[in-house]
Amino acid sequence: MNRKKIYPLYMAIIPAIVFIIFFIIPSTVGYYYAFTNWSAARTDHLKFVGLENILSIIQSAKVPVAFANTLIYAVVKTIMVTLLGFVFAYILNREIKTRTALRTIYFIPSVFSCLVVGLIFSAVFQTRHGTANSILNLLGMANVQWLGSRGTAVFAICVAEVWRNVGYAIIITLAGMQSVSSDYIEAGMLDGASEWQLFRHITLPLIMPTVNVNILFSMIYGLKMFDLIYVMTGGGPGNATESFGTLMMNEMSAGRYAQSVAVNLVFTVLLVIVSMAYQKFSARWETVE
Amino acid sequence: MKKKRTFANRILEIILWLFSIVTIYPMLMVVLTSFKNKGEASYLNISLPSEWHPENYLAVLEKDFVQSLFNSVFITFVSVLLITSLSAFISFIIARRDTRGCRIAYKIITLGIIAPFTALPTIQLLQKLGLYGGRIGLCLVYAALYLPFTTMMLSGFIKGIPRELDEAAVMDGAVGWRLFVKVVLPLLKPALATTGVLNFMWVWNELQIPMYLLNSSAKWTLPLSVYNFYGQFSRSWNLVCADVVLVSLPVILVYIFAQKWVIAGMTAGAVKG
Repeated sequence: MNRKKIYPLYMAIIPAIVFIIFFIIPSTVGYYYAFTNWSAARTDHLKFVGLENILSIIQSAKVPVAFANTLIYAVVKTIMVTLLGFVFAYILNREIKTRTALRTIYFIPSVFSCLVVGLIFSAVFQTRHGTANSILNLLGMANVQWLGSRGTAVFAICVAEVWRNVGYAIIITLAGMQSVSSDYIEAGMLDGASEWQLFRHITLPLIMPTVNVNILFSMIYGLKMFDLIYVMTGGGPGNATESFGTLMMNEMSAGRYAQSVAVNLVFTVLLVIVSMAYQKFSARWETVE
Repeated sequence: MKKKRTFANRILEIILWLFSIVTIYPMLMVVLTSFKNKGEASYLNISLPSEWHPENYLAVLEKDFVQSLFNSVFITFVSVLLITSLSAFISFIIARRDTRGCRIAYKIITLGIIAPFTALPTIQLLQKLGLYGGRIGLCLVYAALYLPFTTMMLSGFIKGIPRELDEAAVMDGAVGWRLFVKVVLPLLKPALATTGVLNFMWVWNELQIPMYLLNSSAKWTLPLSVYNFYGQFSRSWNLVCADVVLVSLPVILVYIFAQKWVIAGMTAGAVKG
């Protein structure tokens, strides 16, 4: 009997229909709205306006700011989380008695929702009595309005995002390190390799595929950040801390529907470019698929 | 040499414990603040409450918490069921049929991991289908949004199941659904558990999508009601913290009791090469 009879296509019809209707159609045909004059005030008899919305949001500086912020959030998060994850995983991979307890503690923040983490860090970075300012006061410094200006607010959001994700990076990197066979390490030790050489020439190359996938997912989720920013600053002050995710929401709330879809379209293009570039860059991704 | 190493490990262990304060402090602060009165709570530190106020939790529970809890449980349960079963079916066909068309379909599906949620077009579509604002519409959108990642993981697992097992069952006349239920499903159970737990955490914690797709507060999920609660009571940190504790309890419990599956799921996607 042939494969097509054994594995009939009709088994995949319902999943395919759900995926096409609720994902493919809105993410393709749906972008038509980006080229119309759709708004809260005008919901039918839409007119095709071409590139007008896209040009207007780019010129209004909202998209350039969101673009810069989104990249900052994603890149800072990815670098910090990967580095810290690496260091902590490397230490935890040594003979440490309380490893399980430490691993559990570091991982807990990863199960919280971004909403909860956002609320926790709104408290931490609150101007009056917030933890960050209490530390500054202890050091004899004056209060800072953390969420009140772009630089410090972006910093605060990055701290919250890194706090939430370090545990996840530790777990993944540690699992990768533990999957490195001890035979290799022992062979290296017999040859008289130093700890650094063992790490550089055995552990690191063997866990690179894991780290690469980790970086890619970290980038994608970092670029898609929404909840944390929305809870901590709402994209403000003004549009200073806006990411693409919050800009879409704020444009919609302002009734500028077509502009919101236009932001969405620019965002999708950015995500596709970034992930394709990264996959080209790290050809090892192929082995993971 | 050996002794020196052990000594270094002790030092590093102590450093890790010191660093864990960064993780523990904010959580401890939230739990302690949730038992304080409003004035004390505004100090946002980890001092013990001068008087314990467990009634903060009652105050939160009175504010539509039960209705939102029901919505969250219903939406999460239906969505996870949909995501897991639909992904399992399509993964089975894609991984086993392995034709050119299937490989193209797989590529398109994995693009779905990258593409962001298209909010307004989805709202528009749901309105045309008469599903906008309802729980079922939201569940179907979740099913479509989380299908790519789950399919990527499940088809990986299915490819790891030897095809010879299928062939033996085919000899006995089992094809299609029967083959799936008899051979693949029993072996897929651990993978279904890991993806199920992962999807549970994602759907349960999601704020953005329900914010777009649910139109009345009667249908709000817990994160939405917590967000709204924070908007109203942002000066009462004791109540906000009690709310945060309540909304986090289910995921913490799942993490404690299903730690093995959570960690397996989170690492399975990444650790393979």
